[in-house]
Order: sequence, then structure tokens, then C-alpha cells
Amino acid sequence: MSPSASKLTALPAALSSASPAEDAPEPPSSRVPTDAALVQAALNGESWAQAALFQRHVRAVIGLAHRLMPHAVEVDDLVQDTFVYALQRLDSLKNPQAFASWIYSIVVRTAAKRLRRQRLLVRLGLRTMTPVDLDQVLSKQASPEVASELRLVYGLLESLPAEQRIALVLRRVEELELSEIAERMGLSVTTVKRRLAAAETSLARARGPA
Amino acid sequence: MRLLPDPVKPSDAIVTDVSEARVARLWSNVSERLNAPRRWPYWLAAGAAAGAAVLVLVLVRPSSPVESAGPVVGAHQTVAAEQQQRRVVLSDGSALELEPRTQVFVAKHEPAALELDLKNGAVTCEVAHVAGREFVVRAGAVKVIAVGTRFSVSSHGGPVAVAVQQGVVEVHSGGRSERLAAGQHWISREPAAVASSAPAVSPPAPAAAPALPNGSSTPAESPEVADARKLFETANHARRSGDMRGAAAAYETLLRRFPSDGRATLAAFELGRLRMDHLGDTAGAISALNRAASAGGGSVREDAMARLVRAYAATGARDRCLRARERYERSYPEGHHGAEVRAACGPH
Repeated sequence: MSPSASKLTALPAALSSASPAEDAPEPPSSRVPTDAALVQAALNGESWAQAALFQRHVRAVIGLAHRLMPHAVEVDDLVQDTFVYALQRLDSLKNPQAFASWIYSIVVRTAAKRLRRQRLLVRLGLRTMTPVDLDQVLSKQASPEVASELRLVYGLLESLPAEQRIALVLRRVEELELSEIAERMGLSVTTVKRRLAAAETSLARARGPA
Repeated sequence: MRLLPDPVKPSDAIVTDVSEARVARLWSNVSERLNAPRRWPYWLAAGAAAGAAVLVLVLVRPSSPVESAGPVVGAHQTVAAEQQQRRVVLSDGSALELEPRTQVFVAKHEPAALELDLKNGAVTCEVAHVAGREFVVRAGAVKVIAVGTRFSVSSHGGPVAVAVQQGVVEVHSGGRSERLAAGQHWISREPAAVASSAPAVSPPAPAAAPALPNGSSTPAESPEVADARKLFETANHARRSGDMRGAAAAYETLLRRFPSDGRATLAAFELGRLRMDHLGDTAGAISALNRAASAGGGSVREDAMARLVRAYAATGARDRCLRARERYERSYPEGHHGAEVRAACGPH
């Protein structure tokens, strides 16, 4: 059986401990293969390269997914959907070295789809949404100001339309620039500004009078 | 001058579980889906989902989604659950609990026979006793017959699983029948459409390699490995669909039939987690976690040992809790679960 036909049901042990920082640029001289090299290997049918891409980026993807959809069960589904989609469509990635930002865009857009569907189910009475208990996941190291801001943002999320919600998290929690938010969401900067303005209005209302 | 520590960024202020056990579990599911045959095109699946949603709206317009008794359902109707568990009552008083993403068609509702067709998902039936009436659930080629009992049937495209909580049921498959009492379960060796009789309790030795689902095996895979893999996939699928009992039953079967398979340790850990977090079976969880902790390595072992401490604490077994805590701290002095483990069992 050729290596490309082999199935991976467990991560290769050698990959389990090799997880460089997700956003750190990889020096060309490094012995760690670049994302571009892994993408190329995966495209050539090397299933170990799929596992390596997963292992390298999964923690950042879980983190982003968790901040976008803080309910634990949904996070796992979102992470799985994201990697399955990405690894099945590697051939559509124009710049293989940009795998990280590409997969973050997939997380964001998949989350937006799921959130739109969720809102529809809630409207139809097929689902109820419980507010996020932020204290369960808030770091003790967070300053009171950050903790208070996050409580406010997450207290509001369930009431916002999907795109406003995503834009608000990317801005207030991920602290991305407008152009980065637009790229991740696949929207124009103007549209992102409109979504953010609406979300910020709701946030100001939730905050109450100054 | 004393430097102030860097402030924690908002994104870092939200703590996320990125344990090796979670990563391994996610990869297991991702690789399983990557290796699985392609599903329906998205638009077709969406159309089917929309159709199901319309049926739900027309036939069983819900009041509240969980644990609510829906309207009474009669013959030739389809009942479905989308994202949440649903409970519906049949016109004879029998109740159905549908796990998320489940579709059941009421094929026959007559004085002598009530017949349900499980299209997909998992259903638990509380059967009202009606003298001389046969209560049947079909899942593909598998037929489950019950009189006055409570049992679950799950079918997620893979093997069919049956678990009995009260009373007795008969499972008919491939021309053979199996009688199951409370506490027993059964899993077919084949997907619902071609299921043959293969009781989980005492599987017959296969005369030849069993037929495998299209494209789901590799030529080098032995029948045993293929069976273990299918069980593991079934369990994971059931767990992801919210059918925790079906998932636990499949993990148990894998552990019993294939104790030395490479997936057994992760299966033991998942079984312990399900029993502990979802099934209220802490004693059963301890047994499974002990197995994962003794057979596993790396993070699965660490997670299992930490859970064991919590499980012993939950049962009030303080001495065992203290011993488990000591073992954890000795093995993982800088472990991920150090704070949680130290807080369990009470003071040192």
C-alpha cells in the first residue's frame, strides 16, 4: 500500500510534540517544514502532511472557534468542519504559505454560517440559546477592565445577527484591523464598518448611559 | 524601576481547552471524515434538511425543544429532531425520545401492530403495554420487537445499535433473532441497509471477510481491524450526534471485542468521559478510566488519571481519591490538571 493510501487514525508521535507558535514565521533554514511544503506534500497525497498541518494550527483554530462560538460542543464541530473543508480543498489555496490566514478565514465564515442557521432554528422554535457563562472561561490573569468588557460583549452576542456578532468579536476580542476583518469575513471594508457600527450601537445601549 | 507585566489581551483572557486528548479526539474525527466516502452534495443535504424542517413544522410544531411532550402523533407521519433532543407521544400513549438529527416514520399504527421506521439517528422508546399488540422499530434490515419496555435504537448510516433499559426486546437481522434483556445491547456488524446478525455478546467467528461499506476500507486492513475501526467510527458518530448511550455501547463493544486494538485506549477514555459527564455512571467511569490510565500514554493517560481523581472524589471514596491524586502528582508534577487535582479529595 502506498503511503498516500494509508489512513491516519492517530497523530504520528513525532508530530505530537512539534507545534511551533501558530503565527510565527518559519525561517527558511529551519528544519521544520514550512506550511507551503506541507500543503504541497498534502496535495501530493501524503496523509502525514495533513496531520502535520492539523497539529500545527489546531490550537489557534480551537481558540478562535471558542471565542466566536463559546459553547463547547459547537466548538468541536466548528473545528472539525473547518479542517475537513480546508484539507479537502487545499488545491484552491492560491498561496500555500498563507495556510494560517486561509484557515482562519474558513473558521470565521463557517462560524457565520452556523450562527445564521442557529438563529433560524431559534426563530422557528426548534432551538433555545443559553447565554454564555463567561466566568467559566475567563482567565484569572485578565485585568478587571478586560474582564468587564468581555462580559459586556459576550452578554450581547446571542442577540446580534451573525455578521454583527462575528465582526464585533474580531474587533473587540481578536483586536483585528478593519481590513483584516473584511478579509476574514469575505466582505468589503464598507460592509464591515456598517456591521460594526450596528454592533457598537447595541453595545453602547447595553453599557447604559455614560 | 519595576516593569509592569504585559496586560493580558482580550483574546488571551478567554481560556480554551487545547489538551492533547482534545486534539487527538478532534484529529480522530477529522481523519475519519477525510477518509469517509463523500457525502451528498451540500445543496442536496440542505434541501433534505429543509424538507425535514418543513415536516417538523407541519407535523410536530414544537412548543419548547427539550424534554417537552410534543403533540400526539399517529400513523404515516414523520417525526424529526434537528439540533435538540425531542420527546413525542404516540396516540397509544407510548413516548419517543429522539436524539438530535433523528428522523422516524410511523409506518403502521393499528390495534395489532405499531411499526416505526428509523430513517436516521437514535430513538429511545417507552412502550405502553397493549395486550396482543406488537411494537416494532425497523432500522434498515434490522427489526426490533418489544412489548412493554424501554429501549434505544440508533442508526447513523453505520452499524445499528440496540440498548435495552427495561423489559425484553427481540432483535431480528439476517434471518436470525437475538433476545435482549435490560442492561444488554446489540450492535450489527454491517450498516443498517445490509445488517446481518452478529450479537455483540458472543460474535461468531467470521468465515470470510465481511462486506465493507463502499470505499471505507483499505485493501491491507484485516477484518478485525476493519470491524474495530467501524465500531470506533460508529461510536464517534453517535457521540457527535448527541446519542451518548449509543456511543457508550459502541465503545464498550470495541473494548470487549478488540481489547488490543490501537483505538482501545482512546475508546476507554471516551467511555469514561461519557459515563461520567452524560450518563451519571461514575462507578462505570472509574473502571473505564482505570483502563485508559493503565494502558495509555502521554496526554490521554494524564487526562484519564486526572479524571479518576475527580471520579473518586464524586463517589466519596476519599482514600482512593487521595491515592489517585498522589499518583497523578507523582507522574505529572507540572501537569495541566494540577490545580484541579490538588483541589479534589480535600486537604493534603
